Amino acid sequence: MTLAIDVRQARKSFGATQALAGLDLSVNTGEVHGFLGPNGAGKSTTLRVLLGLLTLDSGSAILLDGDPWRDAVALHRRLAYVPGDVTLWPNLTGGEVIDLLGRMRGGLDAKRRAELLELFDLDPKKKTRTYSKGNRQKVALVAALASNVELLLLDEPTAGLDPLMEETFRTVIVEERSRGRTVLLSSHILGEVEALCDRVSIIREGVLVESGSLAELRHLSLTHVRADLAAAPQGLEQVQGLTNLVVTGSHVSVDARAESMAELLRVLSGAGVRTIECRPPTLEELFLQHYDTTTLRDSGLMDS
Amino acid sequence: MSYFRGTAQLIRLAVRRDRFVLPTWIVLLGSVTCFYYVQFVQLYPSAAEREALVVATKANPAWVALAGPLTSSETGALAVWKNSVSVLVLALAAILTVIRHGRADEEFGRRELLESTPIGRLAHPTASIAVGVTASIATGLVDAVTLIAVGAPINGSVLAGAALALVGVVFALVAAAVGEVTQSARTARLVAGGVLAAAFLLRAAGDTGAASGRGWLSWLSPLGWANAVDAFGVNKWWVLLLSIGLAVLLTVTALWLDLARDIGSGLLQPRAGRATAARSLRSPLALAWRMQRVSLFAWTALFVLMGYIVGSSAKSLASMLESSPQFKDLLVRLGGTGAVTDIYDSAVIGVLGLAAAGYAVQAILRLHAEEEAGRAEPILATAVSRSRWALSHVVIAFGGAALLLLAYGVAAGWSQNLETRTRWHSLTSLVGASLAQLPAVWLLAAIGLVLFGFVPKWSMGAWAIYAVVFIVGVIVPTAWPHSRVVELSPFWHIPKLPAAPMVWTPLIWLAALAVGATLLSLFGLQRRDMR
Repeated sequence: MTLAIDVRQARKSFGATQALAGLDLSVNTGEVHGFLGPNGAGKSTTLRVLLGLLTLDSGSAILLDGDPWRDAVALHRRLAYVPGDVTLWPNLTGGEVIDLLGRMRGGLDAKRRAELLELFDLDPKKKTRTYSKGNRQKVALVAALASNVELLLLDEPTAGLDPLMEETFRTVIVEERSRGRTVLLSSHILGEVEALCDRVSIIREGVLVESGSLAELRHLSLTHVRADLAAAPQGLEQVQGLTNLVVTGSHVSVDARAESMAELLRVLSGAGVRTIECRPPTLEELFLQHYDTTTLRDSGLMDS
Repeated sequence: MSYFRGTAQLIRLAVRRDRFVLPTWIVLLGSVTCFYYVQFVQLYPSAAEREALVVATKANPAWVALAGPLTSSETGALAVWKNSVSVLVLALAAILTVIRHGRADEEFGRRELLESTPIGRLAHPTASIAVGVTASIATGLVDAVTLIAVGAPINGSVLAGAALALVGVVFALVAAAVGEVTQSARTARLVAGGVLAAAFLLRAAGDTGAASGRGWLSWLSPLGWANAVDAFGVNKWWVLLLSIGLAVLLTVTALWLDLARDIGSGLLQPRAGRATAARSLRSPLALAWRMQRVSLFAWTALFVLMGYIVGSSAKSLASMLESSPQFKDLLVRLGGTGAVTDIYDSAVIGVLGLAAAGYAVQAILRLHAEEEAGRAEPILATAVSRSRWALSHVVIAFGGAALLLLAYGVAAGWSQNLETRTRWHSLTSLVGASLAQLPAVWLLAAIGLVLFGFVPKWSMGAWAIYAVVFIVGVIVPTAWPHSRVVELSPFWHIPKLPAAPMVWTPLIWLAALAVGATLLSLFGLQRRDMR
């Protein structure tokens, strides 16, 4: 499998703030890749490095087998980008902006453009200064999606869209994937990521903390275990990789890492299990674990 | 007074946002008249000389159109008359200030945020009006105080200051009223600027047509009222009441309109535009042209107007020069030696070269504004290189400056109509003299480009350099005629055509420097991070 994006040990500082602190990111060709992280984690910086707008202080970035900095113009014919905060030329209409961006990228599929305008319910005759945030985002989306490109770089593209339009967006992205396009989707909307992405990368403070399919991520994270036992359990303290352990008499509530499960179950069954409930983390919990520094350190998923 | 609750805080906010700009224009525009006063005291010390100047101006319709009739030969009256351009600039500054804190605030959603706090329904428009009105009054105050300080009669000084202030006040309120009607700040600026232009044209038409019974037209214009007070002459204080009355009327209208409409909307709804882009809108250059063309058209109209005014006043120039040897001396310092009209032409063209450079610098700095607004990013994310994007605005700036100077040369040459020259001769010599300024104009713009290319946050430093060149080119030669500081200005090296013979070497050098600086800036731009 070839890589559409391959970033290695990327470092980038803006004055005293370190935006990327040795980031690794790889996106396979043809996949929809979720790019997650709390605000200020370095997602937009990464995208801007991939667009050749920023240089790296050290490390490397390869995009579609080219150097995003040196080969910017050639690479940009093969990709389309939707910024997180879309600002447009106030005295142009939405339709004019879509055409202009498409033409400068090297061509626009007129039929697809009309379809997308219909799907996103966007009036192209309005001056962009009168558009709401959501409508400006639609302009950028239509301009990107109507281009014949291999790679879509989307920076929180649905942040201003209503739920109906978000649904439309999902449908369109599924279509794009079936056409063999690669999508890097930075997002905060977990339902969207779960529905669309083949693989996700979670970054925090400029480094990659997790990457893989959602099933793999679930496996790596904490499972919540509640058990009613016949007697008070013996030796739970010795089990590695447990957090939020609460023992109330014969009742146990604990979060366990996957590799601790066997040992935990052995100790619990030693005390006689009456009822046991194991719940894998919800997606929200999964991300909160990765977003929140303290949880991460407690659980041993991150070096302190 | 719950309607106005919070106005004081909003005024403080506006003053905080404009803490550098407001004092700058208040002091600059307020102190121009006293400089002219001092200048006229030196250039026209005797009453007879001043009387001759009054006669000369009356014979020149272009000057009457530009500045109004000169009715009194008092030194103060001459200074006020010469100050007519600052009056227009003050009106423009007042318009821009009120729209910035009024309609622009609303367009970008800042007013909505403010309205969600417990401020009165009229606090926002009242604050924006108050800032524009107060700044105008402050300008008038500076004007009066500085005039008195340089020894002008107190009565006339106060009246001149009040008349100046009221022009600012009236146009601040015009902007407030217009801002209630349009939905975008850009349209509001255009409409309010159009009202100012109409007021100017009414006054010009009335003043030039006074003999043929069109004089009443001037009385329809607030700019006409400012002249009609006749400061330092008859001192007609009652005329101020017209401006005050109009100001009250406009205030009530603006506030009433504000209560009558929804926040975020205007009375005029925006029209629909094109659903698809024109075939030609397909490159960064086409986009840059689309963004800058209105501004270029306005600048061109200005240069044509200037050309016409300067060209058609060439005839009455001789009589005026005879009335003041000092004035001729001043012209020689600015324009070099030679035939009187040639000196005059080259002096004026030097100033217009600076004006064209002002255009070129602001056109180049659009690049910086685009990047800051986040509009460079979507373009650079397409198959457009940084150089191509930057060069699109360079073409507009360099080409636009060439167009302006050409327009001036043609308009001035065409309207010059001298017995001593054929029209063709006037045309070619003035077009040539005008275009000879180009290398220096380009160099100034290219220096701005270098800042943008290497240290974008210092891009606005281009204006500081421009200010230095302006001071060195215009103020220094009049104040210190023999100072070598003037050689710092690229314009100093340009042959003073048509008074002096053509020399190609400095032009080639300056053009080469401009091209070199442009290439250097592209090199810098390709290596730096984009915002």
